[in-house]
Amino acid sequence: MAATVEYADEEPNGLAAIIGGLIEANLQQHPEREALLKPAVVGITAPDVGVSITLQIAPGRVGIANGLQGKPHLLVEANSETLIELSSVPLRFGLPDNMTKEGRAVTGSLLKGRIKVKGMTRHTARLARLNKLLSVN
Amino acid sequence: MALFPSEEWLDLYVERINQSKEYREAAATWEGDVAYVFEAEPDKNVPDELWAWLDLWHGECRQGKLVDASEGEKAKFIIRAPYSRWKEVINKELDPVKGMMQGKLKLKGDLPTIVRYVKAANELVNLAQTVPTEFADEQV
Repeated sequence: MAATVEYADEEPNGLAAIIGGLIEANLQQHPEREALLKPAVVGITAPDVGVSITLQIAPGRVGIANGLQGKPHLLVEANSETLIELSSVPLRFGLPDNMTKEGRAVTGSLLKGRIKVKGMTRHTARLARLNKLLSVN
Repeated sequence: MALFPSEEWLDLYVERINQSKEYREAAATWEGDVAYVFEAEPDKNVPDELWAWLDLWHGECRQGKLVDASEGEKAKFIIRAPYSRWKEVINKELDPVKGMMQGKLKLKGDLPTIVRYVKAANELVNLAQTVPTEFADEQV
């Protein structure tokens, strides 16, 4: 059975629509990525536009709610353009590939605090699965 | 100076796209048509919804024209917003990526493709900002 993407709100915000659309298309085009749907709660926030979402990931299902809710395992914070760019970064083992220019740019942004990922060291495997789920490569 | 939105404005926009080296490079492998929907705002001199259709292929715009909704809906990608939002985009008052994140511009189509070509999409917007424009609600 195909995995589903469900929106908690009647009117998902723009970030929810983009991330939800990305996950939905990726799961359709790469059905093997359904194996990445292991329990995780992820907050994503773009402070430059004041928009946030919470992803509730579970086997066979991704729930998306407007705003930050509960206590996520991972909280990703970056400006809107960087969030979009993150999805096209080449990955190695689910993390930005530092052998590539784009991967090094993301690592640089992490070090400089332009991208913040709370829970990154404690939940590395969850982060790797999230990156693969969102990747357009 | 061309009135926005109009066929004349669209013709100038297509010219700008085809003159852009940056767009040609960023969209070198892009295949697919795009429709922009300018939603009606009767109080701003835009009484009806307008659909602009662009046939974009490998860094080139092969054709651009105003079409009926029934034709525009067949486009691979559709970006929809009220007229005044488009005006903000053309005036560089609203960044299109931010606008999409905020839900001010609605996007329909394959998201992974858009993300892969975000540079080309930004270039398309930059080019719209270079067209000498007279806005419908500012007509004298």
